Amino acid sequence: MSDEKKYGGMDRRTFLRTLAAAGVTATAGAAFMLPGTNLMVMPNSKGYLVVDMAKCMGCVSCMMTCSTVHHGRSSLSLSRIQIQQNSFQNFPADIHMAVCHQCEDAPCVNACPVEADHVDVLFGNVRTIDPDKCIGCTQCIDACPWLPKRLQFDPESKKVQKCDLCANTPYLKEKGGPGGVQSCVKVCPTGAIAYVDKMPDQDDTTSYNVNLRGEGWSLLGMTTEDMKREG
Amino acid sequence: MQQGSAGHHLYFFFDHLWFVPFLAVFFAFIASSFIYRKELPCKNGMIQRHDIYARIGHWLNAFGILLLLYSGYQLGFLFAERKVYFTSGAQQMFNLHFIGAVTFLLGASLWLGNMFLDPKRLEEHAPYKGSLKDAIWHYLHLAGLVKSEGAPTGKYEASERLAFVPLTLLAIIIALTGLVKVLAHAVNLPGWLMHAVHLIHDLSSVVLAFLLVFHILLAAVVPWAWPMFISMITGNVPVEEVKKNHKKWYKELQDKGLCPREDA
Amino acid sequence: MGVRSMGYAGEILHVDLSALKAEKIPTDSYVQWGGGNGLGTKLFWDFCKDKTIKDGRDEKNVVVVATSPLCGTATPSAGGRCEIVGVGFGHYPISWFTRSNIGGRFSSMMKYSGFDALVISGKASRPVWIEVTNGHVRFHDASLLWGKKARDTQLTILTQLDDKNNGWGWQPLPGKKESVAYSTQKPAVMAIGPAGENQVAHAALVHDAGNTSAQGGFAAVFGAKNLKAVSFFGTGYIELADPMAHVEARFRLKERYAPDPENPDLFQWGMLGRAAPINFAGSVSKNSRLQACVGCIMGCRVRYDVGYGNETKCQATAWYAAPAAHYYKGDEKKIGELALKMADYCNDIGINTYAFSSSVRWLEGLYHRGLLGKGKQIHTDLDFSKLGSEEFGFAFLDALAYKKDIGELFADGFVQGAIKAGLEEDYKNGLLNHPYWGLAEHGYDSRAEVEWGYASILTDRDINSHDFNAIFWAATLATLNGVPYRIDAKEVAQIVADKLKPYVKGPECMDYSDGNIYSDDVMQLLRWYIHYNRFWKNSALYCDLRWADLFDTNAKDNVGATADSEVGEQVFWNAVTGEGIEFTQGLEKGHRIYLLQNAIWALQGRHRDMVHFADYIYEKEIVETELPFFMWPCRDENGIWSYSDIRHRKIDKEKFEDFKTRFYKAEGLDEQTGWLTKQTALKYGLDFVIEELQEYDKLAG
Repeated sequence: MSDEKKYGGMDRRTFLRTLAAAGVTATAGAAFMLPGTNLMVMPNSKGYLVVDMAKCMGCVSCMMTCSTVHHGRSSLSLSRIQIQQNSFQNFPADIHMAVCHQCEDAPCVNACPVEADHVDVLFGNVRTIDPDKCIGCTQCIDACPWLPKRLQFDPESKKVQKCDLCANTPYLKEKGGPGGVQSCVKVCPTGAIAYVDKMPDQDDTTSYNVNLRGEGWSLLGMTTEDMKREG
Repeated sequence: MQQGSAGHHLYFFFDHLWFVPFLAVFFAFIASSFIYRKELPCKNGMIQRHDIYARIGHWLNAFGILLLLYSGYQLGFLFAERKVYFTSGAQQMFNLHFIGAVTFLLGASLWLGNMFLDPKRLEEHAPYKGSLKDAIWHYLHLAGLVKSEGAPTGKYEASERLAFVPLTLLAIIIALTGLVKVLAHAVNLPGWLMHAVHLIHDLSSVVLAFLLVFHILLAAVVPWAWPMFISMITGNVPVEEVKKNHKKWYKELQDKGLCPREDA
Repeated sequence: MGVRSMGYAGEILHVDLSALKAEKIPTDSYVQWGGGNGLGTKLFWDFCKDKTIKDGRDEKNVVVVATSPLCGTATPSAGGRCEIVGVGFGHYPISWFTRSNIGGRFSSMMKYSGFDALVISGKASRPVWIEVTNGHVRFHDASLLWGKKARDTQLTILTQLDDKNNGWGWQPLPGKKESVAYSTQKPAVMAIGPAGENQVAHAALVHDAGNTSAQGGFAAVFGAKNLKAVSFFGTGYIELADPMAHVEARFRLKERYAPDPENPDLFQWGMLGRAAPINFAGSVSKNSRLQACVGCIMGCRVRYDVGYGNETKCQATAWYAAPAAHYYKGDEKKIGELALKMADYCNDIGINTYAFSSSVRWLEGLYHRGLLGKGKQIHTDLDFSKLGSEEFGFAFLDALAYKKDIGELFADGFVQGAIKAGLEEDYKNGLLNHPYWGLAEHGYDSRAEVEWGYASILTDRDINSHDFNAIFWAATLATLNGVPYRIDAKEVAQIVADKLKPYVKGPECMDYSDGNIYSDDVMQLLRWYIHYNRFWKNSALYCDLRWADLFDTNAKDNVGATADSEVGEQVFWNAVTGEGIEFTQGLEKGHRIYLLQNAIWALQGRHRDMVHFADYIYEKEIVETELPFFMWPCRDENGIWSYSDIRHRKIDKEKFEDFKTRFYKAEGLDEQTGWLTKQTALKYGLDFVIEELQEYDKLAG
């Protein structure tokens, strides 16, 4: 004790106590001041994908193109749009199309602990995940209220991804994102996916499934009637 | 399907208690400022090598680091895949990681506070000029390749003092990057920073885990280290052991009058 | 795993059923063979130790199920095809090393699970099915599946693999301890039905509701190997050499050629741009959708809400329509319904409609001739006076699949059955119209559409490749419906000839008038046809119902997408593999594959003397065809082009033999025997076949 040196005008013990007390105060203050992102007002996305589940023919070209423009790899598991198909079911339950809703007050954005899943104000407020920030905790996947989940976990990078309306597509020549090209819309042979700028009714679980079948469709012998489907 | 309700029942310590790791650091500093340490004389043929604070600090670190490595491994790092499934699996591991982090930060900060208050102790731990030569000589002697014991050993062996530098540096790097990661739960940090921090944290952990294996081998597994290992539990080593293997320290103890001079 | 070549999954799975062992082989050394047919042929060569076998059910036979680099990518109408090769069953006189093809999701799932091909050797001692999930192989006991139909088999397997409802949720896969992998997809299962189990020649492999690999008799081979089903499930990916170029080419192709579903051109000429589903039974419900294989530019099948007929198409929907129309006179609804139900049932019991669709008419004839019936020369309990009825249809199919009644007689093939029953004459005179290798005519008479017949007899089976055949359909339907020709005969001949360069000199190759069908021009067209098939169609696995797109009225200048520098087959191939080959280099690869196959056929016992049609092709003129015309571009004496009816002729045997000689010579095969020569083997990098061919004295020159 006797050999303890003075430090900055006070003895070392006092200095350490002062520093620690200041630290505790600052941390407590910060904890109080930073309640998280839940209180922020989330601006609505400027674009949405809607689908016609009766028009899809299950070729999954959209899925393979989605993963190709984003990853340079063709895969169904790396696709942000998910087409599910049961060959042994009858029309119309045989195919289900799952696109991200770009939800109002998106639960996945709210769930992200590190603000990787965020609203991208530079790209039309699209809800997107910054892969550099994502820690792969998968809380966003759990928070997504839809089945199948509209976010995908990439086991190789251990990150979660979601539809960004093609905003961040290194392998798409055209400009993507709201106002640009959506590769799934562009590649779909039947035109079963469309891009709209009006937010579908958030209280109607069927609002993202629309009727995209015009008169030409009936020439091919198929129905053009509306078909309500959830998802 | 009801919007926005799934998965919200899970409680993540890192999310909700992100400030606790920071508080742990400062509380440990405060605690260390109330600790007064002194060296005890020889008693019943034993001498104290690690006082109760040193032992608490060491075992807090040990427990924390092992928990961190285990849970970190389970969560996946660098190129290794995640080993747990569903968010609930991730939640368990993240929460264990949190407990490990708080424990480790308590232990490490307690020790850091002590070092700050008593820089002499740092000198005991730090390598000196010729550490490398002495360490090599020591192991050559143990292996029976050289006859002479080499330079007399102090309280800590030359090899321990050498290992101290990378271990401490890595621990500090991991702790600091870890704290940045914790901070990201509260404030928005730039992507490049997080990317770098993730990488450094993971890489350093791998190196630390590697060194830890050697530490455990040389400090607990090999027979000649057993007395030292016991001392990390009881605090004491037999005087005979000190006389034999830590000649320099024994001389210091004699000089301080903590041990009797036999030749006197 | 070694370096993974662009577009490939990286490994080939070899299952030895005798030992129930699986091994993985790097794909790298096989990349030069492309995929599908080429890859499969080379694997067959390497794995089949005795290539003299003449019946695919032999335990020594090896079957290869092979994908291509394009499988599992969005390459238009190429991402979902799958090739099957090996010694088949049901040909006459010898069951050749042959090929078959299946669509759906099987090949893409195989690649996503980590494999480019599946090599099946040996024979299991009891029924098994194979599960492959992300690189992990498991053999399962199939004794409980044995006897089940194809649909039930698949559903049972899917349920077993889907126990945690994965496939419809976003859940980890079975075997999740190996990796955290997620999918919303279902495993892809290929199974045999009762027909395959009973090892009948006309058995078909079935995948999902309506994909079948029917011709070649591979389901009988599966049955002989005690292999009930194979399931693939994967969450992997295919690395593309130039992803941006691939996506751009797909967008461009859609823009230029794909049909506009909002404004479909129902009279379009060409392959890629066809809009309507290919269903000969008519629609039974407008509550339906188009359904497509993986990556297709436009689906050709339909799924309905009525509970039957899903994914059925083409011949399967046609074979019973005519008898049903006769039986249920005027009841359109019943006829359509029955045609689809029969197609459905064929897919369920796993049977090849091509094998018997024309034979049904022959059997009906036998019945009327008093040769078939209770206690007749061919005894049957089936009441042929009820042909066309629902009960008869099911009973007939059951007889064939379960080897009962007349099914027993025809189990090895209809020609074999006819000979056994003392009716060889019917085979010779064409009443039983099986023109090539004892196999049923495809509906395009070899005496009219010569390239189809020539290629079938010079390969191993009904070639089933519609590249030029699209002209027949377009021109014949236009004639039939009295609508104008969208492209005149001269123009179509010129457009096609341009696509066939440098094989052909000019449009003469398209002249199918009587005097020109043995010319060098047609011979060169045939060579292009076979080479195109062997590589671009059967190895790169471009779908036969969309490619080759030689002419296409969706494009402004009527020129099709095939070989186009911006959207041709090679553009997608190069974007995926990074090989940077020309379209014609693909044809060269096809040539090499065909040469290797000739080596196998020679070992099996082929000699050019055997390479001939059934007698009636040379002896009788065409009496009738399915449509009342068979229109094709022809030149008259003055060299003027027009669409002409090319029926009413027979093939001149001598001229065809001379044609063969010139064809063999051009291919580098020996003119006397049709075998591979040493010189050609060395020239085309087929040195590895020389020793084995010499051993059996099957190497010419």
